[in-house]
Amino acid sequence: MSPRLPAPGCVDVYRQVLDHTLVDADDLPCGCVDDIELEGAPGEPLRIAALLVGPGAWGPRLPALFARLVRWMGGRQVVRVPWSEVAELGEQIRLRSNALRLGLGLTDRKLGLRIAKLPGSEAVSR
Amino acid sequence: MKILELFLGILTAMGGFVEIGELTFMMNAGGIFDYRLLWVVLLGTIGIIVYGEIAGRVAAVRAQPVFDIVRERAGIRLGLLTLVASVLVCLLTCAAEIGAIALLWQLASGWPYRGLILLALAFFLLVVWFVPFKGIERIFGLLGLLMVVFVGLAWSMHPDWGDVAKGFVPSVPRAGEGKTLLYAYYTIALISSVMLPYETYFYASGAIEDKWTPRDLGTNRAIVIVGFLLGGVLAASLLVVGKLYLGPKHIEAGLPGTAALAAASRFGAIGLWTALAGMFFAFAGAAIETALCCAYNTAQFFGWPWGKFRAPRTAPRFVACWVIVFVLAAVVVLTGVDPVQVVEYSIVFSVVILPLTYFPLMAISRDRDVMGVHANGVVANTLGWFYFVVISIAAVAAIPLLLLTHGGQG
Amino acid sequence: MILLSELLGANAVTERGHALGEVREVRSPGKAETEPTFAEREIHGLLCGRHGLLERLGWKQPKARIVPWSAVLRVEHGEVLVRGAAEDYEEVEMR
Repeated sequence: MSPRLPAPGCVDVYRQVLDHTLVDADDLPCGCVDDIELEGAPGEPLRIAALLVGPGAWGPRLPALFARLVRWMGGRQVVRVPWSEVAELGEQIRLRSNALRLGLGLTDRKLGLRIAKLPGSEAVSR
Repeated sequence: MKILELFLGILTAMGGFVEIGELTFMMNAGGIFDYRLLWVVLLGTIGIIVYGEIAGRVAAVRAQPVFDIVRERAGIRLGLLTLVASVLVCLLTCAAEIGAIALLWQLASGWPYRGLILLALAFFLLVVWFVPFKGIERIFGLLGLLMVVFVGLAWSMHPDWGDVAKGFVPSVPRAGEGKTLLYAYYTIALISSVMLPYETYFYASGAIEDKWTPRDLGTNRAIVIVGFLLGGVLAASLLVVGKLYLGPKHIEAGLPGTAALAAASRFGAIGLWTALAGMFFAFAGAAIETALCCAYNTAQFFGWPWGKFRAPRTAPRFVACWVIVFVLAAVVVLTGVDPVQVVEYSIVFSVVILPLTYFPLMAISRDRDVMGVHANGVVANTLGWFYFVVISIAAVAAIPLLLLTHGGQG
Repeated sequence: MILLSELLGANAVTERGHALGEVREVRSPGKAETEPTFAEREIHGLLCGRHGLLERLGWKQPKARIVPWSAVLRVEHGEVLVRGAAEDYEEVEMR
C-alpha cells in the first residue's frame, strides 16, 4: 500500500481508477470500479472502453475458490458503464448521468421500494 | 457553541470508552495481578489516542470514510479479507454486549435471560432505526458516564496509592510464580480491549456524519486526547476495583453483575442502580457502534450509499447490514453460549486482525498526496509505527497464549 | 477485449526470456479529467516490476520498466510477451 504519485500528465489506471467509488450526477454512491474493459489487442491501439461494476466483475479477481463461491452465491451481475460517461477522475469517479439511467444501484432501488412501506423510512436523520 | 460541542465530544468519548470486554478483563486483571497491569492500560490508552486522532484527521481532511480507502489501497483480495475479518470481530463483540445487557436486565428484573435477549434486540432495532445519529452518540455516550461510579468506588476503597503508582511501571511476575504466561495473555487482552478497531472506524464515520472539515482538526485532537484519557482513567479504576474487591475474595469477575455488586457493597442501592445503568448505556453504545461499524465498512467497501444521514429508503443495503448484524448477534447469544466466553473470543480475535485494520490508517495518514499539509507529523508517524509494532507482536502471540493458558484460566 | 484485471499481475517476459516482473500499472497519457473530459483514453504503456515485501510496506521505492503498448506481442494465460530485451526499456522509480 505504498503511496505513489503518477507521472505528471498521465493517468495511472490501476491506482486512480480501479477500486475507486463511483458517484453519480446527484452525488449518490453507486458502486465501485470493479474491473475495466480495454478495447484493442497487441499490435493495435489499446483504449479504455468501459468500467465494469458488479460481483460478476470483482468476483473473478479473487482466488479461484472464492471466485467460485461468489458465482455460486449468485454474484454474476455486471453493469457496463461506457468510459464516455465519466465526468471527473478524483478520489471518487464522478459520472455524467444519474445512477438509474446507467443501470447502477438497482438493488438499492428495489430494496428501497420495499422498505418504503415501513414507518420512518423516509426520515432523514441528522 | 464550539466549546459546548467540544465538551460534549469529550464526555461522549469518555462515556463510550468501556464495554463488556474491558470490564471483564480489567476487573480480572486486578483480581489476579493486583496493580501490576496498570502500565498496560496506559499503553493501550495512548495507542487508541494515536489511532483515534489519525482516524478523525483522515476523515476530516478527505471527507471520506476509511473503508473505501482500504479497497483502493489494499486491492480487492486483501481488502475483502480485512472487511470479512473486521465484520466477524464486530459481530462477536456485538453479541457479547447484547448478552451482557440481558444479564444486567436479568439481575435487575429477574425475567428470563432468553426473553431479555429478544427484548434487547427489539430495543436496538427500534433505536437505530428511529433515533438520529447525533442523538444516539450523545445519549449512550453521556449516560455511559454513569460508569464514573466505579472511579468513586475505587477512591472510596482506599487503595495503597504507592502500590497503584508502581503499577504504572512495567513489571513481569518473577519466574517460578507460574503465572508468566497468564500475565502475557492479560497484557495482550488488555491492549486489545482498549484498542478495539471499531472505535476508530466508528469515530471516523461519525466525523463524516457530522460533516467535519480540516477546521475541526483541533477539536478532533482535543476530544481524542482528553476524552480517551479520561476513558482510560475509568478503565484503570475498574482494575483497581478488581484488585480490592475480587482479589481478597478470590473470585473471577465473570459476570457484569459482580461489578454491580461491588458498587452496591460500598454505596448501597444508589451504587447498584448507578452501576447497572452506567453499564447498560456503555454496553448498549458498544453494541450499536459495532453493528453500525459492520454496516459502514461493508457499504463503503462496495460503494453503496451509506450513513444515518441518508433516509433508510435511500440506503437500504446499509440498513439491511446493521439489522442483520443485530439479529445474528442475538442468535449467537440465544444459543446459550456464555456471553463472557464470547467476550473472551472477541477480544482475542480482535487483536489478531488489529494490524490488518490499522495498517490502512497508517498508510493513508502518511500519504502527502492525499492528506496534503495534514499528513502525519513526526509524532504521529513515530507513535503510529511504534504501536503498529506493538499490535503486530500482540497479534502473533494472541492465539498461542490463548491455547497455552487454557482460555485465560492459567 | 482485454480486462484490466487480466493485465495487472501478469508476468511480463521478453522474447529473449528475461523476466521483467509483474505488470504493476497501466498508464494513459493526458491529465486526469476534471472538466472537460476525454471521450477516449488510450493506454500507451505498462509498468512492470518486481514487488517484494519491503516495497509493499512502503520502505523501499519500487522500480519498474516502462513498456510501450506497441512493444507487446502477446497477452495470454497470465503472461505478457514483450519484444526485445529488458535493457530496451527505461527503468523508473514508481514514486
